[in-house]
Amino acid sequence: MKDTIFRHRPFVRLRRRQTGRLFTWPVALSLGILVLIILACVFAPLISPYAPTEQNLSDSLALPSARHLLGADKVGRDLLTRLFYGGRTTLLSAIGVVAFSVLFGVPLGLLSGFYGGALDAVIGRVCDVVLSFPSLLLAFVFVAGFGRNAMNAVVALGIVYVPMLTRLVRSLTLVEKNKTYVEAAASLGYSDGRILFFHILPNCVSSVIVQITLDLAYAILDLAALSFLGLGVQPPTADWGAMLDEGRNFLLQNPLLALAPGIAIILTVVTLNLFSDGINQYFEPLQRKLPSFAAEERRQARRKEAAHDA
Amino acid sequence: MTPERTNPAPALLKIRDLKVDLMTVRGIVYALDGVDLTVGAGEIHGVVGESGCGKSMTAKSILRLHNERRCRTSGEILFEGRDLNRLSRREMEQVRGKRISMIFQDPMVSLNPLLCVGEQIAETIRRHERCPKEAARQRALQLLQQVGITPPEKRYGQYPYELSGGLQQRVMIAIAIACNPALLIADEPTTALDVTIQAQVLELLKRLSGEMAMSILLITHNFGIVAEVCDRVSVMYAGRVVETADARAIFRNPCHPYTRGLIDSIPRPGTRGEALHTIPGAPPQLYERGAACPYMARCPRAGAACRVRPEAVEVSPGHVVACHDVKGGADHD
Amino acid sequence: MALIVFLASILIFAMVRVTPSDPIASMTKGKRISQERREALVRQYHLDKTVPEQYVIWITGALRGDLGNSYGKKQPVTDIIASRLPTTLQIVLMSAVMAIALSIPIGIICAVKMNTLIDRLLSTLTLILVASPVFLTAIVLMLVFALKLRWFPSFGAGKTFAENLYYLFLPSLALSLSMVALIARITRSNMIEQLNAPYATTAVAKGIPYRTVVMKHCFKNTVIPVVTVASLQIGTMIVGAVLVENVFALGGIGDVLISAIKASDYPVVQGITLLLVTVFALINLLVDILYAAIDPRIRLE
Repeated sequence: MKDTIFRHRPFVRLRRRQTGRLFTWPVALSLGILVLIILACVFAPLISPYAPTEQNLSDSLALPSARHLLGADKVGRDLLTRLFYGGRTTLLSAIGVVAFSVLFGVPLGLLSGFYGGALDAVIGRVCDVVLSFPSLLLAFVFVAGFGRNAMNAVVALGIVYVPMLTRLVRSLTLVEKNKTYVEAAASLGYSDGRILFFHILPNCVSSVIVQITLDLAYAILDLAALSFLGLGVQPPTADWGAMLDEGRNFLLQNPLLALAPGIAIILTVVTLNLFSDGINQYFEPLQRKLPSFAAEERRQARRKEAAHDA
Repeated sequence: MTPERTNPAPALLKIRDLKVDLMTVRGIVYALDGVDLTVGAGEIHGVVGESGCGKSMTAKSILRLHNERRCRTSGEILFEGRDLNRLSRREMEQVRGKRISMIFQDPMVSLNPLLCVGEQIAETIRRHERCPKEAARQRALQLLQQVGITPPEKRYGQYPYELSGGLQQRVMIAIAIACNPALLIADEPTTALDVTIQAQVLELLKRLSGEMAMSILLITHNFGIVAEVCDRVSVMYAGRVVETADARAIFRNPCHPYTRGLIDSIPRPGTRGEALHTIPGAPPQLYERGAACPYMARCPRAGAACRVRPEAVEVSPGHVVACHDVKGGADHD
Repeated sequence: MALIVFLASILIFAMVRVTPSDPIASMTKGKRISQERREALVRQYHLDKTVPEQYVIWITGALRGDLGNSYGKKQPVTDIIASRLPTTLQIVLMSAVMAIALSIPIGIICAVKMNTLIDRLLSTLTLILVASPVFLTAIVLMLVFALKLRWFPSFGAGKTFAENLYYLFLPSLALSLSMVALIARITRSNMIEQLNAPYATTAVAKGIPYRTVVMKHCFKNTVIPVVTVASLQIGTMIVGAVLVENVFALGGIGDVLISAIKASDYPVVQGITLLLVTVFALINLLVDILYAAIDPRIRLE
């Protein structure tokens, strides 16, 4: 009995409730590119022609050639190789940032929204303080105090990202907690924790997923900014932001040194954005592009035929 | 079976075989499937039906308020000698608000939250009558008075959120009648209001219709409202009009089984203890255009003939029914 | 607001001072100095006091307009800020103006022409711009317009405001482009929402031409939330200015901040951060007031 009450609440609201598909071509395309990028980073050691820190001064600032497909940097390290390895650092750090923010932001938001009162006020105030720093500034201060390295950059950005997520989850919780199914669960004597994490949280997941994909994109940009300023990943480790920093001094000799990591960043962030947009549009059909009448009728006719054949 | 009206009013609006298909995220909805509807000059014409039967859709289609990229329309909407479906965008803008105006279900969201109500009335006047600002303002103040909003000077500058739902709907009405339209379309004008306010708003509409010789197309799901204010009534089901008659005739002699079902489901005083009458089943989803009578599945009198869609038949002057079993319906009387 | 800034100041101080390091080393840049000199420096910078005491000295000083002295440059932090701030302010202002002037029309065009070719072109462009880190946009602009075409200087700032309109054009453009993208996208989706709102239908039903419905009825309703989001972006712009200054070597406040972080010049880091947080808070307050001026629903409360 207890179970049947909640069965109808889907765990994640990703089920097909409209004929509009989740996998429209922008989503499919962006997912495809994203998977390619991730594979390239994961298998960097296998597909890279060189080692990431392998120097060869005779190849200093080499232009693209068969030897170095994208050229080489000041100390003769292969750009393509460093691009693959740099992706590893960048993506892993970005995932770290988002994981950190989810780990703290989601529970804080749930608690804050569910219990309200003093707890909500304290959490809200802390969020206000963190948000009173314009974007990356808090990360700057954090790195200034704790030292400049990749780990600190990740933690710093993680802290910066927590309040936004907390507020999102809090507002979702406020909406969900007044719904009947929560009352039902409470009246059955479930513990608060169980209601929070097994009933309310799953119903917030769709919005949180959209937010997380966006955050991932922003984390890549922000990490790149920190590394670019020399406050994040330190040389000689390859990282897209740090590579941009190194490459900008040789814009006239080989612009690819700066542009290639830049394009890698743009590509990744664009695909993440497209993906997030795709999911969002699936939930918000108002903006979706709908097929023409003719196309839809053809589709229906095909479907009918298929049903007829079967 | 005598005609209720010896001199039927000349037709002001004549809708013939109106079909509207909508493209939605769930696929094509065949929302209107050949609507025939005639509104006489000066009459209050009710349109009744369950939600989703196409009554609001009909109302919006007259003024072409749909997102044109997401719908496909065919059929005629004859109004003052012109087919509204064939008017250019600019010509249509001249009709809207001037010759035909419309009020909506929820006045709270139907008024612009950031403009004071007086301005929203005056704007319509300025748009259609090209009069100076001050004249439009004076006219707007008059209109506020006319729809019973006092004191008009104070209310003129207020914002929608400062007014109650009833007053907001009165503002909507003031906007609608600002340019003396020939036809007012009222789409469930009282559904979002309190019961006591409902009666006042209906009374106001009825009074204005008489004073201004203005026809009203009143969309509602409530037969009680029909009985109170309407001269004629059309019953819609699944995107079609299934029965049209004078308001009194339809209560006395409902010919379509669906109309009968609806009227039987009205709770009446003095029938305590009896189970309320309901129509079994639910209206069909309109994702497909079927060949059969759409009411077949729920109809107590369905027969073999119902596999073909019935044509509308005039059973007596001014009483039109789309059912194969018209005789059967009439016999019950 | 004052409370938030106060709490933020504690956070700034705590984070900067939490790790033990030797401020004297950053003052002397690692050179060896005599014991007396060291003790004098320790006393001068109140390093002999406890951290809370140091905080109190710093914050009471800040209230009087004194942010202490830089470790490295031995000059008051306020002087450093005063000499560098105008450049940064001008970049932020110029790019804010450019961003608003470009983004809101783009967003409205995209919304009105939703899902047509022009919408898709502009949306793709804004998507790419939003995905491009501000410093990359800056580098590309510099490469194309300064290094290749030589239309603009590739680094440095001018001496007067007017001169700076030219010198700071590329940096400001770079900074505004990422804002344009973001604000245009928000404008687009807000406008689509407003165009589908019932009151817009009412306006159409009144016979108001579509153009007027868009520009008179929906515009205000669209712009209010956009202004809110855009104002939060001012924070991003301030930080973006840091990055752009870095690329174009403009010597604004951002440059000072970054070199101070690298040199562990804590008074400078604290001072600039506190200033930016305060400015940010003031801007938000201003936006709230502006918000109330255009939205009658809030004015009443």
